[in-house]
Amino acid sequence: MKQQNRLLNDKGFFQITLVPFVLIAMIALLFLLPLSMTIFEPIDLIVRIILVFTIFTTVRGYLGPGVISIIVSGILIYFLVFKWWWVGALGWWGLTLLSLGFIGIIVWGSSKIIPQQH
Amino acid sequence: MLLLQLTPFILFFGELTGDLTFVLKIFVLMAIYSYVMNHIGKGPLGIFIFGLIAWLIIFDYFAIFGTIYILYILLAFGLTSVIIDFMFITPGAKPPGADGMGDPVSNGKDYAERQADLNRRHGMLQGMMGGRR
Repeated sequence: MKQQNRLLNDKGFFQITLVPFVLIAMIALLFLLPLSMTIFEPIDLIVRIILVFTIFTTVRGYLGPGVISIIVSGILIYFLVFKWWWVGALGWWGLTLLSLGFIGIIVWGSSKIIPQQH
Repeated sequence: MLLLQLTPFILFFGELTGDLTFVLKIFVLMAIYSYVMNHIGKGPLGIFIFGLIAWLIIFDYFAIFGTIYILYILLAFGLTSVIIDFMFITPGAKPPGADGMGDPVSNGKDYAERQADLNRRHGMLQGMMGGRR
């Protein structure tokens, strides 16, 4: 009797359950931006400019206009745009996708592709 | 030998976590400042309360409040909807045929199957009642 391989489906493709697939898809989508920034220089420049704007707007929203806002923005921009640019890009990209509800599309779309095991 | 090879990675993650903790503390500090100043104003009392809360949160219990702040930000950006989506698409509800509430309609295929089942039951009922009235 032929023993069925639990890792492969009937067509011989790698079989994966839904939740790991969704998590892998989310992580892949998140890392798409830092990867694009590494490959394409214009995207890197544009995203860094967007990050600077976002950080400055956020800080000014918290502290109001003034010298303190500029100093705090400078510190955050140094860390999140220049030193750890990929962390800043990942954070901004992740929060943007989350706030726009894009993660929900990944979750529901994956449930269409991967069969559910009820 | 292995420790020597791992040292750059350990230093890298140490520097990363240290810097990100510092950035997180700045964000928490700004949130406290904004909250206190919006409620009390920029008077001496506001500055005193801001200093007190900032001292307690940033220097005493940051492990707790830093975690809470990250959770708060994620929830504010709609993490709950993602969790609910996961609850809809993953198994865990009652098995078919068991008592209790049924699953919510999860997708188009599910809806079509339920509709077909309803039509089949309706046909059976009509058959039992002798066809058309």
